[in-house]
Amino acid sequence: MYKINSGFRWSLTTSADSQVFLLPVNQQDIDFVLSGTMDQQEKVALTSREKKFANLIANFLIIGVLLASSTVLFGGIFYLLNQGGGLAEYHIFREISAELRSPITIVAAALSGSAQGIIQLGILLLIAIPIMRVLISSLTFLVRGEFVYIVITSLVISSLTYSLFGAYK
Amino acid sequence: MTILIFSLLIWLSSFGAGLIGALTGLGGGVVIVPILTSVFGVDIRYAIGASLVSVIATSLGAASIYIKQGYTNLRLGMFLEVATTFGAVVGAIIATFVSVKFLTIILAIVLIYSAYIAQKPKLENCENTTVETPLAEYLQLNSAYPTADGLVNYQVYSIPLGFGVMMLAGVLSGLLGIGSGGFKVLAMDQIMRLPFKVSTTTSNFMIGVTASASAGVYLTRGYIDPGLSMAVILGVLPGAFLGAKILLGAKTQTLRIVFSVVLMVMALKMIYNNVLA
Repeated sequence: MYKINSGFRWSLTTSADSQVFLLPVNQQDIDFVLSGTMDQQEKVALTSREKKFANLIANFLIIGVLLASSTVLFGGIFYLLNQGGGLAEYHIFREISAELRSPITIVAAALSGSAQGIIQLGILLLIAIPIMRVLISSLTFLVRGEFVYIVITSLVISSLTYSLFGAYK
Repeated sequence: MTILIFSLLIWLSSFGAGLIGALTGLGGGVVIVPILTSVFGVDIRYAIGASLVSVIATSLGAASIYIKQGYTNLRLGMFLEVATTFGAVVGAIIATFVSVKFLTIILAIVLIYSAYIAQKPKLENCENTTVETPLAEYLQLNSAYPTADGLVNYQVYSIPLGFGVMMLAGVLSGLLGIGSGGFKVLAMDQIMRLPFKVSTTTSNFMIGVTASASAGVYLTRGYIDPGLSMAVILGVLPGAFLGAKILLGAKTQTLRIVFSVVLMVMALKMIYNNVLA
């Protein structure tokens, strides 16, 4: 690494007839060599505070989606084992039974061991992850005192909360 | 047909939809709703509910990867989510009032527009002008993204107009159970003039929240059937991941043209079935 690095600088300085003109280019090249791979260079894009925030969000999302989809898979296997022999009638629209429609009753149904309840719990988790992501962002902006973004994230949270809890007829 | 066989068929189709959705950059939703309704004869309301939750799953998975790569503009995404979530709640509420026929026709129109967007070559905005963008400065939206030549700075233009189109994208997302990637691209690429990679990844980041806003309404209204949604989610999610892997080395121009023709045919079939027949 050191060898390549010094060689690079050396060749650039010898070829630099017009030092002033080439300076920004040189600086960029050296930065590229110092930072090594593209991956590392990309990380330079974000200041360390923004980077930490971005990583927090990214990790939260991937863990969340894995948790939710394994819940759906688990419930799905049970569902197919129990009710797989029944007739598929998705062409007729009937509202889903009331216990599978609101957050609190879904949790209760899943705890009672209903296969459909477990799938619905996984779906509920899936819907909840983006909401929690916005909450995390909102708290981060609160800690930093970024007023505009506290307002922005709060507006998003209110739409989402209304959708999940307030949209009953 | 028994639930087991039906679920397996839905799973396979959803896997295909997720794969094609990722390869063409349109997302699985715009493919899965017409497949469920016109191939499997599923009621469009169940189809929308199942598609929405699968859209959330793929968006979250992909967003996690893009954020780490440094393409996603988190602040811009969070700002525009105000428009898309509001629109999505409105769209989902409208959907519970209007007729199935109306929904189908709107879906057909969106399919035709998506077909048009899918075959269009991507434009890479990276002009660097010195125009002042006070609102973007105030909201700290201007940023930089990684390219082969290092970090490139970009600015965000026409924020109010972009915000308006985003709200429309949100309404369509809530109404039809799709991510409405096509309209987000319109707002971000054409109006706000973002670099292509920034606009697609930021749009993907927002889709999770937008879809979540309308999925809540659908869940409480009884449109999300666990049996159907399970097969769709578990199919679209791995399909989309595989698509994202292939995408890194693939030339997708031909695929996008074929796909846009398929979308167009599905749209015309829907219009024929609902209006002319």
